[in-house]
Amino acid sequence: MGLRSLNPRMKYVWAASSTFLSLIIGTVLTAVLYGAIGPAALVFVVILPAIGAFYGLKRYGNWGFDVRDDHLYIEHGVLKKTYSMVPYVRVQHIDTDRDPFDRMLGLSKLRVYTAGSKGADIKIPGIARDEASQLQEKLRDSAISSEKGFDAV
Amino acid sequence: MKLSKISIPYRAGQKFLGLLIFLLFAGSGSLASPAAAALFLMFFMAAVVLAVGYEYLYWKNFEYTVEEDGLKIVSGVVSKNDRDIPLKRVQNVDVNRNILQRFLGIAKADIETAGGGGTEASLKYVEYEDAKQLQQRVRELKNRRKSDTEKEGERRKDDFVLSDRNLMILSLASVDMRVVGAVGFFFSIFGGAIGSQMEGLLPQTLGAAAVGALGSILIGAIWITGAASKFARFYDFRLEFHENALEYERGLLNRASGTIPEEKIQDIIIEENFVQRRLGFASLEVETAGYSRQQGEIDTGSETVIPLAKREEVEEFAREIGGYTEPEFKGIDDKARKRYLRRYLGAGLVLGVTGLALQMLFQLSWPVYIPAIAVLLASRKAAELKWENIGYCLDDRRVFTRKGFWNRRTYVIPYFRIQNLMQTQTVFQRRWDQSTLVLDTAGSVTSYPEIVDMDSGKAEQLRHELFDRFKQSLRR
Repeated sequence: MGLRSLNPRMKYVWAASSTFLSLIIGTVLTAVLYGAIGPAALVFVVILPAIGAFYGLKRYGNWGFDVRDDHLYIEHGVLKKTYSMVPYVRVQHIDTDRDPFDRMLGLSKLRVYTAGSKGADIKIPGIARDEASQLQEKLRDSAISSEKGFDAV
Repeated sequence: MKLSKISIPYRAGQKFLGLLIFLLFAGSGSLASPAAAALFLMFFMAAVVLAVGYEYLYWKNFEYTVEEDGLKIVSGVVSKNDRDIPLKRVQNVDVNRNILQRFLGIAKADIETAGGGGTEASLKYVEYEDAKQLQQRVRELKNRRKSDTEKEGERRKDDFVLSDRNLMILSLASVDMRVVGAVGFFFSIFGGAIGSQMEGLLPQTLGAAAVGALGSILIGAIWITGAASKFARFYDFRLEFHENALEYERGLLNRASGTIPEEKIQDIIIEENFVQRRLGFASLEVETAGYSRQQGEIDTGSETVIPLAKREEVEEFAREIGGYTEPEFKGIDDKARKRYLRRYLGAGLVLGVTGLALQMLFQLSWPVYIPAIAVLLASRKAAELKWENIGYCLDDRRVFTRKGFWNRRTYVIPYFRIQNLMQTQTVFQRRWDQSTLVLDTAGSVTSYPEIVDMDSGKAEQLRHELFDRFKQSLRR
């Protein structure tokens, strides 16, 4: 189907962050259990970060989106996979956000708002900054041209 | 016309109450010396005078009129505001009174508008008679206007009135079975522990009786408070079907009336809890949303349209509001039932093992594994019941979804109300190649219409099918 991936830098961002987080958890677990089970507790320090790194990579690998004729298609998720279709007619507004970390890496988050409540806030994290603005414009144009007098509710 | 004079002290009191509480807290320490107390009293009096004075000016400057073409409201103490609300935008006047306001004979009148946002103007507070008159006059004017262009304005259907008998049933049967179950379960597990704590104080049998009594009292208290709040909320409930809107009035202490414009309705929900279903009853709710371009806000919520009635009657009302005919529900694949069975058996096993472990650890005399056996025995039936209550149906204009055994909810969602379509798959579902399809509308607040645990392939097919139907519905 030709899905678009996020910016490859996100792969490292996610892998690093989940490895780091699981390293902390692993260290704490090891420290707590060392007294009880001895050196065997070191397993956690090794295994958890490995799982973390795998999770980060998988999270990047599973993320994909596609700007289709009449809807925005997004799929993502590791433990819970989600495939969503957001019709352009339903788009209320589109934001791009950049937190300091994103700016350091030259990335952007794109947020698409609909009136729906569960998926009211659809986010595409980690795409290059100019790509995000292009996408924002494209989505906006699609939302306008698909509207033709329809109320978004 | 003016607001009620009683609104002056009432509004002042309302504003003042917060300040009073604050002052009492802040000032109570300083009341030690007489000088401080005098200062405090002076401050207090000044605040009273100011509040009443301001509210008097507010009252003096507030004026509203109803004319052929609309409502005019002139208001403002410091800066003046003139507001014209065209009659065709006014949906209804909602009149609300809380217990104190009823005692004082005043009411809040909200001017509700169609389509867009929420309340256009709020009259705080008018004489109750004036509020009723205003409501009546707006209705008359709207009807006259309508009969000029088209000869309508007649009610589509008879009113719905909640009978006393059904109000009682609603109140008594409204208990959330899950809460009762949880309390019962908690006591059956930890009752033993509590009982053994009491062993020194009471003889064994008395201890058990005390634990049982405690559990029953707790369940009883939950039940009674729930029943009382339902009773007060839906006392003397009535619903009128107007041309483009539903209007309801309800309440024992707070009398509330409200309007639900048809164009705001996103989806319809028929809800039956276990007890209601057993007795052949159901209730009806609609979820609403309006989008106002000026404020760019969406206000959503669900509104009870029929608190309780015989199932056939509820279905009839639902068909009237939704404009559909009897749906034919399709179930999900049999593998879902197998998965539920395994899940319950697994839960029963875990429970049994935990129970036995607890028993051995604490030397309990209580047979803690009994609930586990009950779970294991019930799991086949439970899986079947959960499975057979899941279903969906597509007709030419809308999709129906259904779910739940303890609390069965049937959603009716017109295709053109769909906001986005989501298919989700958890790790547990992946092993069985199942997915859940979520239909997001602008109305859903707490629970979502969804078809759970479908076969993934079928879910994907249905997702695309629904999207196509959604697109077609926009062309109408």
